[in-house]
This record gives sequence, C-alpha cells and structure tokens, in this order.
Amino acid sequence: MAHHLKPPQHVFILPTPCDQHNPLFDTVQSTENFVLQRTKASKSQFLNSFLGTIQNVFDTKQAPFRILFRRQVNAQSLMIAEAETQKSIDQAWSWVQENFVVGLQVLDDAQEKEEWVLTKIRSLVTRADKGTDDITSDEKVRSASRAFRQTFNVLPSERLVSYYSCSYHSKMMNQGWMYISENYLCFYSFMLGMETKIFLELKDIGDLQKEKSKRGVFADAVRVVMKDGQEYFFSNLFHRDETYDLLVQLTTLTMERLLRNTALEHAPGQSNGDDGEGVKDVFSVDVDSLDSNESAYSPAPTTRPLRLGLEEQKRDSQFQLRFNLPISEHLMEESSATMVLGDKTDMFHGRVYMSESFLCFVCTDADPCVLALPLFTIRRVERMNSRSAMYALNILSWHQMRIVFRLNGPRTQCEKFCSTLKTNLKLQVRAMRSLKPFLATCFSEALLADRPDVAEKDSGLGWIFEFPGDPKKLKNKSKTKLWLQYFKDNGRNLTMTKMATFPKLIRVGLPNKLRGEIWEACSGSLYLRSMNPGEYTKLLKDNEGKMSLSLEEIEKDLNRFVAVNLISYQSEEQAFWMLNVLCDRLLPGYYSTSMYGALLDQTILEHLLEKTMPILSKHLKKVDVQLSVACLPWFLSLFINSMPLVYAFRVLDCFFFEGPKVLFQIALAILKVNGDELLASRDDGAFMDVLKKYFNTLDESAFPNSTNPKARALTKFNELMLVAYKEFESITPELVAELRRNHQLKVVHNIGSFTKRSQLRNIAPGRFSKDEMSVIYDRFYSALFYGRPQARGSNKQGEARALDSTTFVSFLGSIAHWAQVEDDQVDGDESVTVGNSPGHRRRGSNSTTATARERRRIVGRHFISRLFERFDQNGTGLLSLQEVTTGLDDIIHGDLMTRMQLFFDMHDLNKDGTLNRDEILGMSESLLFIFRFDDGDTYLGAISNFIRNAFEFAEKVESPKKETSSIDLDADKSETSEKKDGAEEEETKENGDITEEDKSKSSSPSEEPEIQMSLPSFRMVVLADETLEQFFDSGFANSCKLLEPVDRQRGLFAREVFDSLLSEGRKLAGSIAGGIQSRGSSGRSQSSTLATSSSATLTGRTSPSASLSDKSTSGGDADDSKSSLTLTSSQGGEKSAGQAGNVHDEYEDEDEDDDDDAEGDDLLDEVDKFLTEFDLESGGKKNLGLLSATDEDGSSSP
Amino acid sequence: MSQANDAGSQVIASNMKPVQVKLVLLGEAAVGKSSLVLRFVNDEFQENKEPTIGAAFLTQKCRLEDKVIKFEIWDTAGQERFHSLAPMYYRNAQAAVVVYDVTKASSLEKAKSWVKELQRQANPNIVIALTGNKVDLVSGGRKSRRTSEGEDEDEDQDAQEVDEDDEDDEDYGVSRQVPTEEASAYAQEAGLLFFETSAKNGEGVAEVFTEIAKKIPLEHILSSTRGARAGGVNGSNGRVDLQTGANGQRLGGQQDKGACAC
Ligand SMILES: Nc1nc2c(ncn2[C@@H]2O[C@H](COP(=O)(O)OP(=O)(O)OP(=O)(O)O)[C@@H](O)[C@H]2O)c(=O)[nH]1
Ligand SMILES: [Mg+2]
Repeated sequence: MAHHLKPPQHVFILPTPCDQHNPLFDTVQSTENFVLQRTKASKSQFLNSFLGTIQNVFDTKQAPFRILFRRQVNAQSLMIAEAETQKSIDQAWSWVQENFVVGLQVLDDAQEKEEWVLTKIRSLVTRADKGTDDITSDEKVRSASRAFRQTFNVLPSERLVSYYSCSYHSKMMNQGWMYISENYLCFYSFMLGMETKIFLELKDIGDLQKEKSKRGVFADAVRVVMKDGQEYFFSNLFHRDETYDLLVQLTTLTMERLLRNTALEHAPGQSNGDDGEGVKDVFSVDVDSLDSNESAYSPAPTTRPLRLGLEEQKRDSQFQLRFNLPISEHLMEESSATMVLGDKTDMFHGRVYMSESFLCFVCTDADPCVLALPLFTIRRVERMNSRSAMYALNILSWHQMRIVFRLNGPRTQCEKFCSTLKTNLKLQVRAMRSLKPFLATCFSEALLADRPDVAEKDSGLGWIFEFPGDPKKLKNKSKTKLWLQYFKDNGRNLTMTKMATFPKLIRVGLPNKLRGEIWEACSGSLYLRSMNPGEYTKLLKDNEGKMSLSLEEIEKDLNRFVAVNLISYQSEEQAFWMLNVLCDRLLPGYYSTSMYGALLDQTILEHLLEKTMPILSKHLKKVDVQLSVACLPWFLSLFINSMPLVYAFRVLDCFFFEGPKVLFQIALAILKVNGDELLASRDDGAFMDVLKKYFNTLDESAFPNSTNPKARALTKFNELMLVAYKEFESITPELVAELRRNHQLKVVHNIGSFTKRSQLRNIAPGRFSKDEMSVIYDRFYSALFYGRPQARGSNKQGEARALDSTTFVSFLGSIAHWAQVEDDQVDGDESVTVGNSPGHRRRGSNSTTATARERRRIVGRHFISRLFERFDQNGTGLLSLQEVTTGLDDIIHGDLMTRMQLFFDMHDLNKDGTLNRDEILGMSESLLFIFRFDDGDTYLGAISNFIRNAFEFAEKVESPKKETSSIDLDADKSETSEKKDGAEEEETKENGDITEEDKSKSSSPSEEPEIQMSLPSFRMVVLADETLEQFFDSGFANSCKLLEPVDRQRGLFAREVFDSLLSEGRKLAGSIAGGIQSRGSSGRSQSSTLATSSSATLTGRTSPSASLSDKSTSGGDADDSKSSLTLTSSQGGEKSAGQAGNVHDEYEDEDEDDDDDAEGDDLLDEVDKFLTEFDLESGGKKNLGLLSATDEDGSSSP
Repeated sequence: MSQANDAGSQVIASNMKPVQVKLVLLGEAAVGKSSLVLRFVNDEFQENKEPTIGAAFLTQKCRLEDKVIKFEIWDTAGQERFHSLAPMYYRNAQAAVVVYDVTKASSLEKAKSWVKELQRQANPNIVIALTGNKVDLVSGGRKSRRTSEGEDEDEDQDAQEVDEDDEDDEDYGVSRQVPTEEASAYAQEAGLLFFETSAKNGEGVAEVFTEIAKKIPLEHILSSTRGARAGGVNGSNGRVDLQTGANGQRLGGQQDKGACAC
C-alpha cells in the first residue's frame, strides 16, 4: 500500500541536527521515533504569517512546521522535514508514518534504525530535488531557495544562484531581497503592509549598468534596463560588483541560449557540432558534472550551490583563454613561482598553473613570457633541493629543454601542487605514445633536423603548388633563420615558450613553410590536434559517402572562405582544428546563423571609431554611411576578401597570436590612414571607392616623395601596421572583452526584433491585429526558450522554431488559463491528498480526490494534445508559428458554428462522424477541464444538462433497455462509462480496488446500449443550454488572452490581498458547504466498495484528523475556519508553481489563483465524483435509469 | 576591378557628368547575383563563383541615349544570415534587381519575399526588376537531373542517373522549375520589370540594366541629389534646410517620389 503514496516534494531535507526541546516550538504529534512540531508563533499569528509570507520565515530562517527524528544514539534530534504549511507537513508526516513505522519495529539496533531512516531520507531528497538548491549543503541558500520558490511562481527545476539584501527604488525605497536564479531576477519586499514583487526575465534584460546610489555617495547600485525600456534601480547592494558580474555572466549565458534555441538561430551554425565542444549548454554541463560524483544513495549527498559552479566556470574559461587551452582543461592548482629556462640565468617571476594536461606559466613582471606545456611532453620531473625555495621542480621536456619552477608558496600548497602533478602525469601515458607521430607532422622538427626542404606528406597546398607572393620579396630565408634560432633557445611547437621577441617575429610576417604551424601554436589549435590524434581522419571516415548537412553548410558557408585560404599553409587536419578554434574561441558567434558575434563587433567598432576619431564618425553619420557596409566583410573574411592575399596573411599572423583585438586595430588604422579622403566622400559609393583603391595600392610606397630611402621603402601596408599598433595601442583584449560584454544584450535584442519583424512579415495573420501577432510571437518563442533549455541536439533545421507537444502545452498555458496543466513534476504533491482539505470530512473522498485530479490532468493533456493535432496541419508533429497562428485564429475568430464543429471533431475519436457514448463523456470531461477555474455551479449544471440532453437526443444504435424511474439531476449521471482511452485505463489501474470494480462492470458492455450523436444534434444540445451556447459563442474564444495578462490582474497591496482572501475564503467555504449539503445524498449512497477502499487507505494515518481537530479546537469560530482554508490555498500555490507559461503575468495574483484553483478543484471533484461514482455503483441496473429518463424527457419535449 | 570603368561595348569614357544610380541585387544564395554583375561589369563568367560575404561593391558606367549613367552596384550576399543586413544596402537605392534561379522553385518564393520587403521598406520610388537567371540550363537538352540545390522540389525525377557521382550540373541540364509565364504574371501583378537571363552566356544581362536605366527618372536624380553632391549644394530645388545636413540623401529620395507622381 505504502508505495501508492508518493512523498511530498520540497519538504524533506537532508537530516540536520537540532534540538527537539526548542522553546519556540510546540510538539503537535509524537511517536516513538518521530516528532511533528510547529512554531508557537504560527498559531497565534496565523494569518499574519501567511500574509507576511514566507519572507518572514526566511528572515528568521525557520519554517513554522518541522519533523524531527529522535535519535536514540544520543540526545540530539535530527530534523528531516520542514514546511511552510500544515498541509505539506501533514503529508510528510503521513508518509513518514507509512514508510518508517513498520520498518523501525523490525530493526532493534538503534544505530541500524538511524542509518536506515537517514539513508532513506537522503535518497529521497536527492532524488526528488535533483538539480535544485533545496539540497545544497548550505542551509542559508536552502531557505533562500525555498522562499524564492514559494514567493515566485517558478518551475521546480529553477535553481537559485544567489540572493542579496538590497533596496528597490520606486516611489519610495523598499528594502528587501534580490533573488537571482538561472532565468530570473526577482525582488521581494514586505514593508509597512505593502508587498513589492518584481519579477524580471533575464532574457528580456537589455542593459545592465553599475551606478552610484541615489544620493550619489556609494557606488552600490545597479540599474537594470529591460528591452522594452522599463528601468529598475537597485541599491544598497553590499556586494555590488559581485552582483553585477553575476548578472552579466547569467545574462550572457541566457543570450547564448536565446541565440541557440529560438528564432534567432536555426541552422547548423557551429562547424564542429559533432565533437560537442563549445556548444554545450553551460547549465547542463554544470549540473551533469555535479551529479556524476554522487549516486542517489551516497552517504552525504550535497549539491554545491549553483553559484560556486558558475564561479568555477568563469575561472576556468579565463584560464583557458589566457593560455589558449582546449575547453576540456580545468584549473586545478596554482602557485606563485619563479621560472628558469634552459641553461640561462634569467629568472622570470610569475604564476604557475596546472590543469588536467597542462602546466602553464605566465610572467607577472614586465618581461612577457608565457608557457603552456602539455604534460605529455614532459620527459622527467625532479624535485630539487634548493636554498631559495623549498620546492623546486626540475622539468626536462621532450625537446631536452630544462625548465625549473620554484614554487613560492606555503608548504602545504606546494605539497598539494606536486602531488596533483604526479597524478596528472600518470594519466598522460597514452598521450605520450602519440607524441612522436604527431611531431613528425611539425615542420619545426624537420627544420631543426636540417631537412627543411622535405615536404611533409600532409601539408598545405602551398607546398605542392606555390605560396602566394614572391618568397624573395618576403625575405623568407632570413625569417626562417630567425625562427630556427628562436626554437633552439625557447623550445618549439608544443614546448615553445613565448618570449619578448616572439611578437616581433610574428609582426614582420611568418615564413611560408612555418606559417601553418606557428598559427597553430599561437591559437592553441596545436593542442587540440595533438590531443585528438586521428579524430579528423575518423570524422572523415564516419561521414564518408554521406553528405552531412553540416558539411554541406561548410561547403557553401562563410567558413569556406577562410578555410580555402588556410589550406595553402596547412594540411586539412590542421585547418580543421584551426577553424575549430576560430569559430569557438577567436570569433565566437561570427559564423553562426545570426552572425551575432560579427554584428556585435561591428557595434563595437562603431563605438571605438566614435571614441578615437570623432570627426570621421560624425561625418559618416552626417552623410548617412553605415560603417558596416565596408567593415563587416573585413571582419568576416579576416581581410582575405579585401586585401591582396599576401597582406591578408600578414594580418592573420597577428590575429592568430593576439586575437580579435588586432582586427579592430587594423580596421581603425585603415580608416585613420584614409581619413582625409573619407571625410571628402559623401555617400557609401564614394566611401567604398576610396577603400578599394587603398587596398589595391597597399604594396606601394607610403612616402614615395621622401628623400629618406628608408622611408621610401616603407609600403602602405607597413604604415598601416605601424598605425594599428602605435595609435591604437589602447585597444587591448581586455577592452574588447569588456566592450563585447557591454554591447551584447543590445545586439541580441536588435537581432531579435529584426527576426521578429521579418518573420511576422511572412506570416499570414488571419484576423489577428499586429499587436496580437506580436504577442503570439513572443509567447511562442518564450515557450520554446523555457521549454527546453537544454535542447542541445536541436541542430535540425526547423526544430528550434517549432513547438512540440510539450512546449505547446506551456505555450497554450501562457494564452489560456485553463490550459495550465499541472506539470508532471508535481505529481508527488498531487496524488497524495491527505486531507486537511475541507472535503476530507466526507468519508472516502480522499482517494477519489487523488484519482480525480490525476484524471483531470489526463483529460486536460488529451484535450490539448488533440488540439495540437488539429493545429498540426501537415502532420509533422511540430507546430510552426504559422500553424499556431492559423489554429488560434480558428478558435478565437471562428464563429459559434466553427467552434462547435471543432469540439465535435476533436472528440470524435474514431472519426465516424458521430459521437458515441464514450465520446460524449469525453466531451463533457473536456468541458469540465476547461471550466475548472470558473465559478462552479453554473457550469456544473450546464454539463449535467449536456450529458442528459446528449443521451436524449442521440440516436440509439442497439436496442435500448427501458426501465422507468424518475430521476433528478444527480441521478442522471449514473449513465457513464469509465474508459475514455488508453492512458486513462492505465491510470485507473493504479487504484487497485476501483479498477477491480471497473473491470467487473466493463466486462458486461452488452448491457449498455450504444448511442450516436450527429453534429446537428450536438449543436442542438449545445444551443439548448444558455451557458454552453455562451461558451461556444464567446466564452471559449475569450478564454484566450493575448493583450491582457492571462490571469485576472490584482493589486499588489496586502490590504487588497487580505480582503479578497477573506471574501474568497467565505465564498469557498460557502460553496463547499453547499456542495456537501446538496450532494450529501449521493455521498452517502456511495458504493460500499469505494468506502472500504478509501478507508483502507486511510488506516494508519492519524495525523490528518489530528491536525484538523487541532485547528478546530484552536477557535472554532468563523475566522479560524477561514484560516484553515487559507492554508489549503497556499498549498495550492506550490502546486501551481509547476505550471509553465507566462510567469511574469501571474506572479501578482498568485494567492488568489490558488484560491480559485482550490475551489475549482473541489467543485470539479464533486462532478468528477459523480461521473466516477456512478461507474462504481451502476452494478448493472443504474444506467437504465437514465434511459428511462431520456424517454420521459423525450416525450415531454416538443 | 579598377578596369571596370572602361570595359564593355556600350561603356564609354565620357567627360560628361554621369548620373549615379544606386542599384542593389537581392535574391537567394547561389542564384547567380554576383555572376550577373560580373557579366555586366567585366563580361566574364566563373563556373565556381565563391559566395559573397556581406556585399560586394562595383561600379559600371554606361551610356543611355545622350546621358552617361554610373551604376553603383551593391551585390548582396544571399545567405539567410545576411538578411538582416540587407536594409543597409537597399536603403537609398534607386533600383533593385531581384534574382531567382529558374531551375529552383523555392528561389522564386524568396524573390517574392524580397519584393514584398522592398515595397514596404525601401525607397518608395524604387525600380524593381525581377530576373530569372540560369536560363542556359533549361534552354538546351531537357535531360532531367536532380540538382543539389533542388533536392526537395523535383521529386518526380530523382530516379534517373542516381549513380552519377559528378556534382557538376551545368553539363547535364536540369529541368525548369519556374515557368516563364508564372514569373512574368507575378511581375506584372506586382509592377516589376521582368527578365530571364543567363550570366553564363550573357543572354539578357545587358537588357536588365538598360531597361532599369530607362525607367529611372534620371533627370530628377541629376538635378537633385547628385547635383548636390557634385556642386556641393545641399538639398534639392536649391533649398537648403536644416534637416538635409543629417539626411540629405534620403530627403533627395523623397523628393524623387514627389517628382515621379507628377
Ligand atoms: N549555368 C549557369 N550557372 C550560373 C549562372 N549564374 C551563376 N551560375 C553559377 O551559380 C553559382 C552561384 O553563383 P553566384 O553568382 O555566386 O551566386 P550569388 O547569387 O552571388 O550567391 P551568393 O553570393 O551566395 O548570394 C556559381 O557556381 C555560378 O557559376 C548562369 O546563368 N548559368
Ligand atoms: Mg554573390
């Protein structure tokens, strides 16, 4: 039995030691092993604590309810569950009783008992809350997470990253808490009876600015500007910069996802999607890696807060960027150190870092000196005894170069460093084996072995044909000599240290044969190639014959441009890894579908032009010339498209070494050098002419008239490089990174709004207005965005732009309230209804309620999935924006007749053009589902009428049995059939007893006469009922809300909340009381089977009644009963938190909704119960009653 | 490409003040926009023209009756990703050539959507020519073969020559997917000039540009914007107002519209 009951979620916690005898807590229940407690405050200030909400709780860091495990080993207890509401704690308590009591009786040993309980709780917590912060080891984060989750209507999977105390400035200052989660930035305050909730989607943030606080004294504020221009000002942030950085990091990640998952990106943009690098969703990576080191049953399952994961990620990516390492490398150790290279006496002071397969050093003195040594190139390491430092590592590289690191750190740190090095080295054995064949592909090796003319078998086309340019003019020979010397002094290829002379050698241009290899060494693609031997060949082989989509893309893709040219100097394999680095690291987002990265850099270029050459910038604006017209192709093709090849390669030399900042420097230098002529040009044609002419004369002397022969020899290209490096020295990689960060949100939103405009232009809007189309578009992509944040494999075109059945549910939920189906994840909550709902007084209602909810969910899902099928005109299983638009248009703008037809068709499952008994019942269930949030009585009546009339007007197929009995409204529901479809069948089976009953009944179907209702009779039945007519005429259409928020808007003020709560509560109480009275007879007449089964389920659950009596004894007056209702509804809030959809619109009236929800639930339960109960009761004769009624009514109707 | 200015038969080296016409080419990737321009400007053809990045800028002078016209041609990239940049090139354009590939039905759809965009967003007076390119492929043998671009479209004829490894379509001929009548009817309805061309053999290419030149109100351009440019006088009709400083050209375009309506 016990396994029927799923444990409630978000209640159990990792067992935490605490004192059972806490003066703040009253013990409510206690058994031999467990204690249920509630805070003293919660009783007296019951309403207050509800209104002041969870926030107060969060401040005091104590939930009002908790369950303790009494240890027998020592006096201290362990807290195993805590909850905000009585309902939750009651559920948990029942679960504990059911699952532990018997087991604990069997075990004798106290130690054993404890272990058993704790293991079980831990596994429960880890399993249930996997991926949320509720299980973080940090208690503060845990309670913040709980407060966040319950204050804001977010999905249970949403992870809180951090929270800060701060003030929000509106008309007045509100002191409260800022919550930052994966997808949202939220603020909550409750002051002077006024509640302020702010709920912002990170994906809609357009700009973030650090600011001084209002009084201008402290730099402790952040301004958040949304893409629609709305601004929010938060101050009093004690960790302002941390907050800001975190927001920047998260919005960046969000942008990346936005670009990948929604309209903005739709084709295979990444050339290297196959190896999975660079396109991973960061969150999923993070979560995966966290999960991997803990099984569900591990003894201490704790999740680190997401924030730590993010920080680590940031640190790692900085580390990788700095040394051009593959993204598989993570920073493991670091220490301040002194390096000595070879036999030289120069000492370099700096820091040494270690990752899985690299030992890196960077000099922190003025002397530039950078080394990233792959561990697999280390022949030997010795620990030396030296006077100056306790730890000195003497390393002998593969190329017989001696490198000494003296670690200057505390002893323990050095020990740790050394032992990690040892471990990591051991793991390199395999890589070491492939080193030799790899080095055979490096020209530097051939050069040092003095056979520089040996053409490698896999090398660039230039080796076979010819390199661009005249080698003599390029001074190829002397350059090669210089490099040879450099290699001898500082190591080569994988073991090369980049010294002060390195950039100089690069800037004069690389010698042809070394070019490919040095590009690799500069960009880090050398590491990728050496660490993935054979990968490229394998890729080719795997894809042999099949023209994969991505290869085809590359073929005609932008990349081709660069690739074609790389291949002059590099082998195919080299070029492959080079492109990899180019797309992922050097120019992220350049070669993606939206060219987001390239557009971003254009914005930055414009910004830099404005800063460095204001006159030119102003002139261009004046004559209305867009800079990108000329400059975008420069960046996209790395100047290959614009400059003569010889010079374009010189630019590439610098670019691969120094990164994208070089492109900016050169672009600005070009504009500067041609400044006068550009200032004279008055349209983009003239502008282009100037530049074209300039590029065609790059080889000419810059100063042809100079008397100085040296100056005369200086070409325009030389001049360009000088200007680039000298005049635009201030453009550093850091500056570029910062500018990219500052402009990225704007650029993404610009792309977004452009995409939106152009997509909407190609959509047939039906009868929707422009504004409505805009809303449909937004909700469509919002559903996609939140629907599958981890959709990685969605490389197939179209997939990312269409709704599948899951995302359709959340889309529809964001348009129509009734479509907000509970998420699967809250099943646990849903199916366990251990009653303190008022209805539980009726015996046997519990299991019915659970079943009914489950069933309603299924009905809802089926209804929506049939709607999905209707919308899916081409049957692809995916809905495009057009299909959704057309579908909604039919629903909203169709007339009464079309909507009736729609419902008819949707429920005609066997497509025979008529509705049979099951289908009619299916229809009525669908209607019940749609009406579940509405004021119950009217619809209840209408649906009862519908069923009655439907059966009446339907044509009977088989000979109907007639028996006369007068029936009332209740009884007419005795005519039912239980099976709606497969899924429901499954569902019913879970409830053992009931299923038995069902089976016995359905085994005699011959007794039920089949009926058929045609579309005309269906229309007649609908039109016969005012409520239904109104529903089909306008109600259903109006339930789809486009321009107004999905839910009724309510004020934020606590007073209002309070008032409406009271009135809702009264209404609810009244209606339920009414319900009980009016349904009383039927309740009593329940079949004995049902009664038995439910009471059986109830056995052993003492707490519900206990908690209830507890409540009633505490007052018994009207107020108190209200409070218990309130409690119920707040619990509903947790449930509805599972709903996807437009959270933004919902947050404000969360509480009310829950009320409605709860109310709807109960009323629905009533009806549902009738529908089901009569199944159970109709042991053969009941259904006949209806038929006779049909006859009677039929004869009486005109 | 600096030799562009003196190539071609109708091209002249004139000391007459040329009328500048800004012309933009739009259309799906690989329909032959760059090839058309290359044919027009240099009278050349390349079998494997590389895709355009962003846009290429070329100029060509030619004579029309007693005037010299200097075409400033923006040959845009057809790949979808560049779509968002297109407005940058077509704004202020007096003429647009929207190109499709007669062997690829989907390219006409794309062309239509370009026309729609131009009619809504570009200079309201813009002269648009719809051009079906690659007619050389369909005028010869009617051997049908599946093209690499048209995989989705010609389902009826994919059975033949499946074993053919050669991807070179040109030698085999492919079936026409856009009937002349269909495209021409559409062009008429939308008020566009219509041509069928081959950049490969030069058929119809010159006409495209000549007809456009004829249809453009050259006199007006001469007297307004370009006059301003050459003579250093801002604005049209000799009127100098404050706004022209910021967007004199656009203003010129608007004046064009007024002039044309007369
Ligand atoms: N047979 C034939 N082939 C053509 C013709 N015009 C272009 N091509 C070929 O079609 C391919 C694409 O031509 P492009 O001129 O690059 O096409 P595009 O429209 O400029 O392409 P994007 O720059 O990517 O937008 C090239 O291989 C051309 O050789 C034509 O008239 N006939
Ligand atoms: Mg082109």
